[in-house]
Amino acid sequence: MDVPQAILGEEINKETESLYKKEKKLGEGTYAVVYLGHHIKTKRKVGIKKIKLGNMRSGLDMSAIREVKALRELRHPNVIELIDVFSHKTNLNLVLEFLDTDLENVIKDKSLVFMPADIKSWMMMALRGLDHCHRCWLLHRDLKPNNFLIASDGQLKLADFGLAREFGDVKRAMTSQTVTRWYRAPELLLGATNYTGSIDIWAMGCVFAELLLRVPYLSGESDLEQLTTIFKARGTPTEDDWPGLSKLPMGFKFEKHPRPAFAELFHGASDDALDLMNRMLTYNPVARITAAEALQHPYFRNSPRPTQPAKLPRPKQEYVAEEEGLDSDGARRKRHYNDAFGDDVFSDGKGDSAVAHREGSGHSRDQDAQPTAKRMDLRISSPA
Amino acid sequence: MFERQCTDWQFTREDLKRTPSVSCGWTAEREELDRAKACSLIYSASRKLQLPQITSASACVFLHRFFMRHTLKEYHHYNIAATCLFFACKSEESLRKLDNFIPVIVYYASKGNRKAPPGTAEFEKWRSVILRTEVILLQALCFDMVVNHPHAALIDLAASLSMPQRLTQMAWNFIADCMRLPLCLIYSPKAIACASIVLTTKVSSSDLSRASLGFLDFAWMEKAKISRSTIDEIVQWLLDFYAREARSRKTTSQGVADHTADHSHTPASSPGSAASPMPHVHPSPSSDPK
Repeated sequence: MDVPQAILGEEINKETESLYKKEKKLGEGTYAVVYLGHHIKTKRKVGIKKIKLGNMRSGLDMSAIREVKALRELRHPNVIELIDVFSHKTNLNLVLEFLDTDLENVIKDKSLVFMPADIKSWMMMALRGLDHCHRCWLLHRDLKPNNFLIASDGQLKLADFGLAREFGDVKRAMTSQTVTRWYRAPELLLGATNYTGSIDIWAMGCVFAELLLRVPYLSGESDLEQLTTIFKARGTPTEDDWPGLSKLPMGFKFEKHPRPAFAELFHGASDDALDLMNRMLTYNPVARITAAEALQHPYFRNSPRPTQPAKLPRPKQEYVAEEEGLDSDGARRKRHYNDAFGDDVFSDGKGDSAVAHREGSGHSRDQDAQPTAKRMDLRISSPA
Repeated sequence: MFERQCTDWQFTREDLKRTPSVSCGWTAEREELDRAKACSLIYSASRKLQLPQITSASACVFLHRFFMRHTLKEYHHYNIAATCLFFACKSEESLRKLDNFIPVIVYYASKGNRKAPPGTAEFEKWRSVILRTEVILLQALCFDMVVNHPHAALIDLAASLSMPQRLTQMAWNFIADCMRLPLCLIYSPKAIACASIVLTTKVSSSDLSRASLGFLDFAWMEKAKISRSTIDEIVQWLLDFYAREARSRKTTSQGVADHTADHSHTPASSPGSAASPMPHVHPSPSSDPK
């Protein structure tokens, strides 16, 4: 480097900022405002997440730092892409891949019918993304359906890494107050401060169940009730199920519930699906299946084959972002944008014109359907 | 996209003679000393705040990177040290409250002469400096906050060489000193770890290290693809630095007195209050991108 590099950082920052144009506000939470924008030259649609500067007491928001740190390390088709970061005055702006909808909307849209192959496809993509995180020694710590965003080509992507952090250092305690309650693993509810990727797997198991049931599986009203809800649904664990149970910080005295027959509740689910779900919702965190093991589970090998992402069901109705509320923890982000749900989303033969478009411009309605479907084949294992 | 941003933190020794600070009047030696002092502040404060070593190490790397893009003239090294450490607390998940953080920084920056409990004007001044500089720091770092440290490389090497615990500890301490020099801008974490092992075997005269010198036959370094000359460079740099630091300690008996007085533009730093721990505020036209 020949020239003195004074204020280079700021120049780069300005340059980055000038690359993008904000179009409209998509939603607002306590921690961030999300805008729809585009890259001025390539016209690629992006989501710009403007992090509000927290209270002046502690400076830059911890979630923003976590999210930037995590996403810059992760590169995977099933993890949302962080395209750029820039700051404007004291605000941080994260330029993220624009994604049309999320799994929660898909689950809630009762006009959609899920085939077992569809659920398998979503689970496979979600587990691949999660496996990648865990391989990079990152815990997501807030998995739930509305943090699985869905691209216009049907790809499911893990998003919202505001709670993500590294794990692996056994000496360092981590908070047990993490993960949205319904998806929180029992060891967290019992106050564990040393945990691993197994907490993400529990959440993933809950999402799996939710895909089968179409309603949240374990929906407790409070932290304590959450445990009771889990025990009623899954049977109260014993020291046999979960060695070391009585040593957890919060002690253990609960009403004994028998382990119910799951096949009744999940009557539509195949045996291999139920087996995988039960392995993900195993009480003992050490015995719980890992993301890598889950991907090797017979469920993914047995028929039916997972649906190709582009052919997965997706909500047809138009979402108007501003009216969609955001819940108090600010974790929900709404990125729905009418344009992405054109009538022709599902039509197949868009032909070569769409291919020509794709190079420059990320996701837009022109490029849905077939070309993407060709590109994607779920049966090819991911490089990660 | 990020590739476009200049997140290549590999520099040469020549680059260190052309830093922004040098181009506005600092000598390379003085810059090195200022950087080292800033890192010493990071280390003292980290110990007091019981921060993990990875946090202080990251803070040092941030500081060295920051001063490849900004000048010591515009940003006082103690201000940046405080900001880097505060930011590293966040990026390394070892959060400390400013209420606890600032008084510790002030205490060590003033060599124990001053206190700045929350609510005082001094505290407020530091806070505004840290919070404003935090964004500038992040910009200068191009939002790149993942750092690989020599410590991990040392642990791996020590295990593969079955180095005695005592020697590993010694090498670990050398690494801490390496972090005070801008070595992390030039050499890989592995090279720094290797150099610290070599230096350990050099200074430790016990028969223990004589015995271990056998495996330090540098064959393992070739395997690690680190050249002998690189190691020697690092070792020599560190030894020179120790010598220079010892000299400067002798000549400037007032300790920290020299560096604050150098900042003629610093408000209210009369020669008498040279060790003023007040944040060094200057109008900073470049702090706002827009």
